[in-house]
Amino acid sequence: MEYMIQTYGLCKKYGGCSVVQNVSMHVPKGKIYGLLGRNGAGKITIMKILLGLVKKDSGSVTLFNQVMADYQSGIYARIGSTIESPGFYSNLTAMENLSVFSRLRGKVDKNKIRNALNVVGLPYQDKKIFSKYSLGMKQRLAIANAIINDPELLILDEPTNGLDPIGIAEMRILIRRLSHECGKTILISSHQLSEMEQMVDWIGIIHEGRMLEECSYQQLEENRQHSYIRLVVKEPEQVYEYLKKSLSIENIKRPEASAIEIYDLKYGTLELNSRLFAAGFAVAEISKCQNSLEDYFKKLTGGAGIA
Amino acid sequence: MHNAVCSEIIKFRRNKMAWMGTLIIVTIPLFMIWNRLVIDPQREYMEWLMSVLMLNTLILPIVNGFVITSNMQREYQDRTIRNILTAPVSREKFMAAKLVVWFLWYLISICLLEMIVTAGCYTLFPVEFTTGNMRYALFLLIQNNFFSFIAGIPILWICVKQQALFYPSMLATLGSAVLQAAGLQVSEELILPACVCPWTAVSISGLVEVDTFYYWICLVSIFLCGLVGFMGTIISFGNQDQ
Repeated sequence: MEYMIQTYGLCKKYGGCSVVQNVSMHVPKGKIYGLLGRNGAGKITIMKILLGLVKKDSGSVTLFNQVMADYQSGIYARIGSTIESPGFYSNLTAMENLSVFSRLRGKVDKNKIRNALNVVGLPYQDKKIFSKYSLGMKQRLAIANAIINDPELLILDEPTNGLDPIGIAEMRILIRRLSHECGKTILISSHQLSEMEQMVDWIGIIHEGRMLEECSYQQLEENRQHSYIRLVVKEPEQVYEYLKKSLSIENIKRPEASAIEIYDLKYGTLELNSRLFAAGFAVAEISKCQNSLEDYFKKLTGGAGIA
Repeated sequence: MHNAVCSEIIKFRRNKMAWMGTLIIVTIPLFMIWNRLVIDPQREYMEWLMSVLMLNTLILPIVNGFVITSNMQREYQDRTIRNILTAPVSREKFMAAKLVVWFLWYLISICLLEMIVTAGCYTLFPVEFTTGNMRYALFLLIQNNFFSFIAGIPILWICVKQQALFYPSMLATLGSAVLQAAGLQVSEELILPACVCPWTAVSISGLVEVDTFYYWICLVSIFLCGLVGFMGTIISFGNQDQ
């Protein structure tokens, strides 16, 4: 598999505090890679290291199959990015702001600016200055700035932050279109796990500066034991033994005193209920549950949620 | 580099602080012309010129410091610096472009100032308006303003170090303006240390004869200050995490 971004043993300390610890990351070409983690987990620092905004303490970064030893403008010109809150000149309009950043890359192409604004749904000839924009409009402008130069790689930090539900859905469609139709590689970080679930092809889970898991979304679906049957019974000890010995069910967990979770789905809820009833057990509750990405995240991080 | 300079020019054209700064700079000679016409019609040519120089020495570094502080501080505060560096632009080129455009603004502002001073001399002192006198007056102002800019480059370094803050560079600006003004009042026994201090050297260079020992010390001190300021800026900015 060809990778657009590869990091090996990436480390970064601020003062005496390690914010990135031995992170190895692999972002496949043409895929959407979701970087999941809590606030302060080190996501933004990793993105900043990739963009050359922050110097790494150790480790290596390979972009487009080139090891980044020093500043290489040719490489960074192939990357579009938004990091943290959108950074634009508050006294300039969207068009003027994009002109300033376009000028840094070379000639100001008004058609490119118009197209980028059009893609994110912002007006071209708008007299409104940036400071008067809503958070959603600012976010859209940041995306417009990231895609204006038609980059091969996009690094987007919380791109749906501040958008309304329709805006989020539109952004999701845009990101997927950029990846699946235009072949762009996208590294994206977000707190909104439900959004990530609908968007990403690959996922990296980072916690306290460490990469806990990195795999394809498909692999993650398998790893996280997506579906299970939850039972609430009067005699959990006996039921547990019955399920193990009489029904030969292996993968059983007991999250609470009276609850049992069965991940080995060789029996459906109806059949399981009938068998338990026939064996003389009283079942208070039986249901098929979905293990959400957040549940899986909590499991990996030892109980810490995403928010 | 050319792209970075052009981008800076786009920003500077919409920078209200820069426009305000230019307005204040051109107000100095206008005020002195009005003062000579209305309040003090008896004031003589040299006295008038020295008053212009004194005001100019005090106000110009302050305005200059305000303009570069607001320009740099905004980049950090609005976080535009990240978009600039990921555009991408090399850190050295970005800082060099800042310095170039800052100097261009300064140059335009002092050109306007010189034009008004020349027009003022022509109107107020037609007898003294000779080639020799004007050459002296313009040389004095141009040299003073140019040296003031060079000695003010370390403000850019402070702006980089302070990032989104405002006050350290403003205090440094006020300090350098006070020192430059104090340089006009230095007594003879303190002239050597005053020549070594780059900010007092700015004023002293206009008072001592060119090609004297003191003039060269002033020159070395001012340019060394500018060089250290620029190198410090480049190194600090190059090592700074954004």
